[in-house]
Amino acid sequence: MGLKSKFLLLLLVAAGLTVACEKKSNPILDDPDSAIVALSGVCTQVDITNMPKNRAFLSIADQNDVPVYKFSVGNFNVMEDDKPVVVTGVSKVDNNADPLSVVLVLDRSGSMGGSPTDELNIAASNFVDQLGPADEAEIINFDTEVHVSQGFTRDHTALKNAINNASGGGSTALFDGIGTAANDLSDRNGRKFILAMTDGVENASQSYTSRNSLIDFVNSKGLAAFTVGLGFLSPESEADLQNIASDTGGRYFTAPNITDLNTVFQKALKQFNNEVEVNFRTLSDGKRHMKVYMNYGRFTDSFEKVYGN
Amino acid sequence: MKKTTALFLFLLVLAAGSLARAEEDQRFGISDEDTSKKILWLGVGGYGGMNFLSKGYDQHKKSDYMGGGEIDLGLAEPRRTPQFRLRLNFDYLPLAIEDGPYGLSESMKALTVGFYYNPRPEQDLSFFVGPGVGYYFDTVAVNSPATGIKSNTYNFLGVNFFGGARWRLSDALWLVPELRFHLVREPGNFWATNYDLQIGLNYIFYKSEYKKWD
Repeated sequence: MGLKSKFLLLLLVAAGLTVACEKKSNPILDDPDSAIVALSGVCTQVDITNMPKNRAFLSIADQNDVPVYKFSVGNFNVMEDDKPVVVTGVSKVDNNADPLSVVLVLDRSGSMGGSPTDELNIAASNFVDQLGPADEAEIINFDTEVHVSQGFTRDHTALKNAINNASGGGSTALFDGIGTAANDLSDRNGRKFILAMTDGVENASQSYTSRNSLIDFVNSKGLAAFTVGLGFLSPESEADLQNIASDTGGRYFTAPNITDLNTVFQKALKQFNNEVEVNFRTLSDGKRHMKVYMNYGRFTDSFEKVYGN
Repeated sequence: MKKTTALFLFLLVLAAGSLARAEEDQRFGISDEDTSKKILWLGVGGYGGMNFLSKGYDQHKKSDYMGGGEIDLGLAEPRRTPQFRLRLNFDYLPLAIEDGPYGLSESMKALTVGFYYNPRPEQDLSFFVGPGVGYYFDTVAVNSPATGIKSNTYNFLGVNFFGGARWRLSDALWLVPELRFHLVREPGNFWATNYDLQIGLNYIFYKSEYKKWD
């Protein structure tokens, strides 16, 4: 073999060795506090505004429903349709940079008359008062029909007027109320939530006649619905609220008594305001099933969300 | 306007190449009758160098080693060296991820066809430019307690533009420093970009028996 051929062979071998070298990064991980004995979480939304640099928002809480947000980039992996993608960063959401758009969907049906209405108005007004200066809210009151009493605004007075001036009576068009909220949120950028409460069973919706059709619609808009069940609910009603929440990436809360409503609303807002943002570079188009995997000391878990068109 | 300018530049390069070829024909005494038949040139090459990531790779080290190989195909008259060549390239980019993510690795392989133009190929030192097109295979793998071992290769269409020099080492061997700029079309109509600064050897193992430098 001539000198030239040897030189060429050497170069090809060097290229081959380069090919054989696969480089893994060294993980940077955070560990959970010893006081945490259980964790639960949901993926509330995937922001695709800056495709392919997407952001998955996670709401993670401990056994006492206290938000957990101290994570590093090594604590999460992301897969889309069971295919890994590259995680590029993890941080607690900056609420000033990423303000909320939230729709309060409030049950004003006949069963809510009297004292429950007063307590509901207090809880909803307190919720509005706790919103950040850049957060915007919309108030939807529903009974047999759906009423958008106040469109999106930062004006707390207008929002509270829409809450306190609502009148009640009639049946419960819960699905239409949530569907209207999803539709109104769909054109908005940034983080967005639906917080819906009821004390009864769905019996009056015209547009979304089944729970699944509503869930499909909310998912098609990339949204999460948080639901609150007030008082003693029928199994059917509880199943509706639980499934709407779990299948859209939201959470289901119970308020056994009307006086618990304020605490539950505050708990929900606390979760909205303490989300974790997982940045990743998507490598797929279209509708996909995303799964965020958590490696957090002794805890491993995964949070799912369907997004894209 | 941009298309017109690009077309004008392309025609200008071709015209300059034609003039250069005429000058080389005169210099090396190549006559018109030599153009009656074509000779196939076949070559192989290997190269290595540095790859620099410029857009779309936020979590990666911005430069890393790369390597690759190529097969060249050219047609020329018996006493000439081809001005135009087709090249089939295989490239490997390790895409090293910065410390942070757990159990994550990524690499990219590319299989592209390039159209190579060298206006003055008879010179001992000559320069070439050209475009290429092909597929870029982006492999992402993960191995963590939560995910287990998973990997996937995503295929993206991409283009590249290259330019470099050819320095004749012997009758059949050239040293080739080269710059290549890659654009990879990712989802969302996003173009990720990177470029290579590489040096390699090109070995022509089959061509006409006639050698102008004999």
